[in-house]
Amino acid sequence: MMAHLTMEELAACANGAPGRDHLAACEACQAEVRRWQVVAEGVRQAAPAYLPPPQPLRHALAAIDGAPVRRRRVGLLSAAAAVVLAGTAAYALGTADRAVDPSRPVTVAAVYSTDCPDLKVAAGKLTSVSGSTMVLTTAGGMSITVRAGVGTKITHQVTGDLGELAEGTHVMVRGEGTEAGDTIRARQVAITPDAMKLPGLPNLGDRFNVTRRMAANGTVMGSVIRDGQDGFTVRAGDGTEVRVVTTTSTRLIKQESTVLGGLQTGEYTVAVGALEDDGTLSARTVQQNALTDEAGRHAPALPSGLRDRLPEPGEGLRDLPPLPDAPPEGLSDDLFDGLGCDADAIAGTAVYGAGA
Amino acid sequence: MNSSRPDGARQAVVTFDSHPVEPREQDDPQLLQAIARGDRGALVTLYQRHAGAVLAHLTLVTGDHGLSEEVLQDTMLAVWRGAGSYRSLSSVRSWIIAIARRQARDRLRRRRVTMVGQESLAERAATGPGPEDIALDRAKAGEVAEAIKALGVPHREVLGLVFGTGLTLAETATALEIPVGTVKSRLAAARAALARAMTERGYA
Ligand SMILES: [Zn+2]
Repeated sequence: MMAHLTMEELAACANGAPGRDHLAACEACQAEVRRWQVVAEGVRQAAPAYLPPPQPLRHALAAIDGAPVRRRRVGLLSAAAAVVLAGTAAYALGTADRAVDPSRPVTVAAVYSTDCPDLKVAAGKLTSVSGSTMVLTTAGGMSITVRAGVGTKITHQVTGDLGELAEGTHVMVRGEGTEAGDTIRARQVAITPDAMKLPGLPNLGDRFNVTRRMAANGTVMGSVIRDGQDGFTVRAGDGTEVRVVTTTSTRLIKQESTVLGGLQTGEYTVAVGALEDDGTLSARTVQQNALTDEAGRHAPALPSGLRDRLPEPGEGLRDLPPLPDAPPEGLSDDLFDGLGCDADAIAGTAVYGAGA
Repeated sequence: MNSSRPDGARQAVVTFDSHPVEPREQDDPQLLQAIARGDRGALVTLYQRHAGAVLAHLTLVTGDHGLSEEVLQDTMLAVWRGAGSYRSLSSVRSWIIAIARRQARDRLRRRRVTMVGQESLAERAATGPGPEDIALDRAKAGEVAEAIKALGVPHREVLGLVFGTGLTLAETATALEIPVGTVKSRLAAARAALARAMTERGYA
């Protein structure tokens, strides 16, 4: 007679597999299969297969969104985290705090959380557009599918005329700053959304003026307060005024409505909307930044902290620590603090990179 | 104000390596590859495919549904971070369960609860039908389900993986990180312990 069923076969039979021919002829094996069947049924009764509950996945995704866990620098200037430094010349103020151990895999966020539980932010290069769907790839190389609907507000950057600037217009200026940081010769002026968050710069008094430091490095953000013959004046979040000189080669960039097909692949694009259970983002707002991203980078530089060092006596603003080689990947984790559920403000902030 | 120079025709000069968008129906190893590239959607799909079974198993072993959900959450995070380390020598489900076991151990350690160590368990060889089998011959599934709660963790684990999760003995060996021979002897020992527990409970 053939060998009795092996443990492997008995277990398989208890799980419903047909036994081999031997089983039909062997009462001992039949009894063993019955005993294992009772055990198997008991186990299944004790451990009924659940439909997976949504919470563990949601919590895991939320933790993923929050990654990497950054340790914030503690320093005098850390209150000015996430100052806008969108131009190459403007990196001087900040560096992102990141893990330094290169052997450790760093998890980079695919979407960013906001104050609003229903709104997440995806930001990266537009990889493809197909119908009402597009794919963004983040600076960290992650891809996320974004869906647009009839209500989705889609805008991209176009060039305009400097004559469109008026008092109160919010702008981000980039160009060449003077050593004192009181004047910028503008290369480009971007009209930023009214709703976006302007950087709330710390007022450290005469000792160290963050706006002047940024302006010395060529960037200022704020409102146009005075128009003039050869330019205008911008008042920054801390009240500091910076003179902006424009020339015939100064370019004005503004945001204009378009359709999904009007977006350019390869360009930095931001989508704000609800993260669906299938991992896609249903966009409420999509904004593309094809023009101000001059350095050809994946995203504007949005350092999450300022260097915690003040200038020494006799040291110029531009003598402070050197510019990092590259902007940090992605957006800083506190960029959207205070914006609530305003999808347009969140998108504009991600595109133009203001921080608190 | 000066007027600007029209410059709408500026070309992007960036070269950019993009990942192809994966078709929806991917097998488990493909899902892990996608997760390793940071594809959240793949993690969601993997979760929908395996989380129910993993959670049922964890609940059977720990007896604590809330704790098991926490462990499942830790497990999904660990899968997200470790997807690149998966080698196709094992099934994805057994690989996930091996991760879940380690996460459960970490959680329990933090709670200062110790799981019964494998080494403390005497592996008894299968001895064929004996007096203990009488209990099983008369038992109902509901009684068995009750008696399982009295078993040690290693016994609950092996029973849960083979009959609850439906892993093969080889997959169970991967998940438990023990040899297949040990799976077989532990399975027999678990059944014997179950029969004894039922006898003690007066089911036989
Ligand atoms: Zn037989």
